[in-house]
Amino acid sequence: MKVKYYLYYSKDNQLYAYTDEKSISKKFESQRKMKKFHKKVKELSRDEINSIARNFQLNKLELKGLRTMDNLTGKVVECEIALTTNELLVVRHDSFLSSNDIFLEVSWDLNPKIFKKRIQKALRILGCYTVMDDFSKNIPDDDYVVADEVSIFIRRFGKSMKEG
Amino acid sequence: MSKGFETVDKIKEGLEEILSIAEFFVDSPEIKKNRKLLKEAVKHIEQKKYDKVLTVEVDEDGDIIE
Repeated sequence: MKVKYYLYYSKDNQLYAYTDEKSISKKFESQRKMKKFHKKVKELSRDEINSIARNFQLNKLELKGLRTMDNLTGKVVECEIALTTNELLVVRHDSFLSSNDIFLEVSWDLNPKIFKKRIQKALRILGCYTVMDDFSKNIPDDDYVVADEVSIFIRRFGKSMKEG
Repeated sequence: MSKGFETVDKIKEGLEEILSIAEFFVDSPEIKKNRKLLKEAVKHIEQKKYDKVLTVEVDEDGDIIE
């Protein structure tokens, strides 16, 4: 028995993404600049599917809701994007660094007391709360930062995306 | 107290590094407001208006006075 697969190759003929779900392939094609990819539709045998699953695990496409801000309502919403496991891991990694471990990325040692109070508050709201516990009691929880995953995705992989 | 900084240049670099990471945050009004505040803090340091940003004194070479 063979299964229909949708395979997307980059211009240098490397397998970039694949799926066996037509709805995901349609979503991928609606969101990406398809001139950057060669599409092939193939009927794959069980051995071929196993080989792809083993060797190209990070290239499998999935539909995921990435968080972003709705500019009209000011609320955090999810935007559904067809992306590879590799792309998702990159977005999640950057998102984690942005929202939780900002000071692992900043190379100097911070003593917040060196700054005026309003600067201290700004630093805390922008993710520095882990080292500024003295101030946390004055700030409501909903002020904590949420990384904009759609922005991260566009910054990292925007070249492959359609505009608008 | 241990300040963890040697010069205002290092403080400025650190703030700029935070701002570059904060570019990834969702643009809520609160985040926008505080990102703008930190950008202004960087400008104040560039203009040597240290008293608008810092609680410590800075000498003419940009070194923090212990």
